[in-house]
Amino acid sequence: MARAAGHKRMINSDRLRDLVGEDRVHRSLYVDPEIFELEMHRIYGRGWVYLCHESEIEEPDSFVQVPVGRRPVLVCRRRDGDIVGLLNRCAHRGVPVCMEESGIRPRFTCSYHGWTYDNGGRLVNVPFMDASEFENSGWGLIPLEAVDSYRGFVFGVVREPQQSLADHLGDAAALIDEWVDRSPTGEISVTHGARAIEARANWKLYLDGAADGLHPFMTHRSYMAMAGRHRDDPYLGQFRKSPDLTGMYSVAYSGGHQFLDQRPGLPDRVWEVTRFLPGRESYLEALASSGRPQEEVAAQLERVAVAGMNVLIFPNLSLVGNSVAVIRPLTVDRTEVHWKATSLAGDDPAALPLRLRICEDFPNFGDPDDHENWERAQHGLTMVPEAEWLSTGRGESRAPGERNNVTSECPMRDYQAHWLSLMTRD
Amino acid sequence: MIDTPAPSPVTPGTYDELVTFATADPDDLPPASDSMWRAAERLLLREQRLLDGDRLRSWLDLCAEDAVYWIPVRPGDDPRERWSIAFDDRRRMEDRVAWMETGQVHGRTPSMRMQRSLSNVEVWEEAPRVLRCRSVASCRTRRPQRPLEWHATVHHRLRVSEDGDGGISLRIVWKVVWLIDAGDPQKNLTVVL
Repeated sequence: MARAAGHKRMINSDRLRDLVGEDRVHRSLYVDPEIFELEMHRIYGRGWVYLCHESEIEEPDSFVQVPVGRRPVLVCRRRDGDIVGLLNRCAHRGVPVCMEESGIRPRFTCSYHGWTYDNGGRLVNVPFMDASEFENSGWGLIPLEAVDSYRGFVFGVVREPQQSLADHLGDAAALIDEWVDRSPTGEISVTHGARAIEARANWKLYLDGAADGLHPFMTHRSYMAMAGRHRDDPYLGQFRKSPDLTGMYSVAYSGGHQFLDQRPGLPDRVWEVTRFLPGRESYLEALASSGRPQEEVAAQLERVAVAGMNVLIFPNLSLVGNSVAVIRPLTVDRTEVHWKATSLAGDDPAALPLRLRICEDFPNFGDPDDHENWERAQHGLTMVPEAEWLSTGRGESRAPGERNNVTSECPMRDYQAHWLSLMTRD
Repeated sequence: MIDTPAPSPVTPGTYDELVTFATADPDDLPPASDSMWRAAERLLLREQRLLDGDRLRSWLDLCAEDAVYWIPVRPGDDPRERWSIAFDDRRRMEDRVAWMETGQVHGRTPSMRMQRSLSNVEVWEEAPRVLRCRSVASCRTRRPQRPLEWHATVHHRLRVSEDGDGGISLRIVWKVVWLIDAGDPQKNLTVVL
């Protein structure tokens, strides 16, 4: 029977390939619920996805709950130190067996009929039934098929891993190294609280901006105007005029990862452009009276100031400044971004409050403007079906690993090509 | 014009005191006298009205030089260990006001009309000339396509001084805002709560 045109569209690989062009991308990537469903399956259900940082589950039997796509997943540290990911869904009636975001639990008991699992996912108790009747029944919590970590960042794959984590990260692993190696011991901690935002926008709008060196001069005018009251050359001011002439650059990596390096546009000592934040003077006085040599003091202040690196590990991990952002798609037009502040292991503990105040700065005075523009973009994409395409053609298409002008859209095109390859694989 | 701002008064001691304030049980304090209670309530209502009208400079005038405006992610968070939704000393409060006044905060354009309400006000005497207030506050506004609102329990510390005419004047020293959903994802927060 013939269907009315447009009543039921089938998303298939040929159709998807038509949506990503050399200099354009179709609006349906952002507004079509069918494409979103397929993303939850093919990208978040079959590929490497960032879960959490090891410092969040340092204690034996600790866990955090995170979504993988939309699946609730418990990431558990077992007593032997192993990390496992468990789909948080009771085998009996489907109820999540844990409603907490984090905690210490060797076992999880379902609130409905009391089925109990250990933190390896094994079914260990069914009320009023002999163990012999359920042991080896196969009714456990379903584990993620792969969990691995790199420099403390824990990633997982729900089903059918196609490659190792090392292969997924590829050359972008060096970016994580560089970011983490600001720590005197080479370790960081991600235990300083999480603040989250919810945007009425598709999750890929975050990815579109991950290495976008054009938007700051316009989107973040409010930040620059505020910061410009106290300095000629405030942080972010490097984007104000001809950002491509500052030496700042972006890089696309195989695997959809992106990098924007702000450091060539910043002074060697980023502290010199860091804003005047709460507790600054008392910490400077403490440093001055500590007797530490001047060079050491300068190095200390660089560990307090932001990193000047924007790293996007496809599809959902972003390292910005001194914070970790995790992108959580909810629906085709709703996304949460969970931001976590970091500290450097082995750093001066007295530096932490000021480091945290600096971490708070951009979320307060920068992110709201990004957030609003993502929502406006979603609005325009949703409401104007006649305008089908978005322009993505700025800048040359250079090979992965090569440096682009910082305003180039090459990293965006590359991640979209990677997106397409994942979405069209069998 | 470049202007070097005054130093931040925040020291490790400020954090100690603020954490003690945030975790203290006000029922251990004596209630304020009726006249102080009324004066405190008047100040809190005026603060809400000034913020509703975007009279942000007048709002700053209500705040002491050593004021702190703090929105923790969770009640009980220690700001030395955990970051906050907002942690402003007077200098960053002025930054926040300047930021909102740029006219370039996209989340505030087209201009926002706001309506706050305040209830459940209680006032205690923390020390001579120092008041502690607890109130329940809501702020409603509208962005294109949708309403936005925030709800919070707010703890103020107020400082009482003579106003020179035989009366008293009150200023806000601390304002700690516990959003009921602070741990949950926030909609675009471009207002002072």
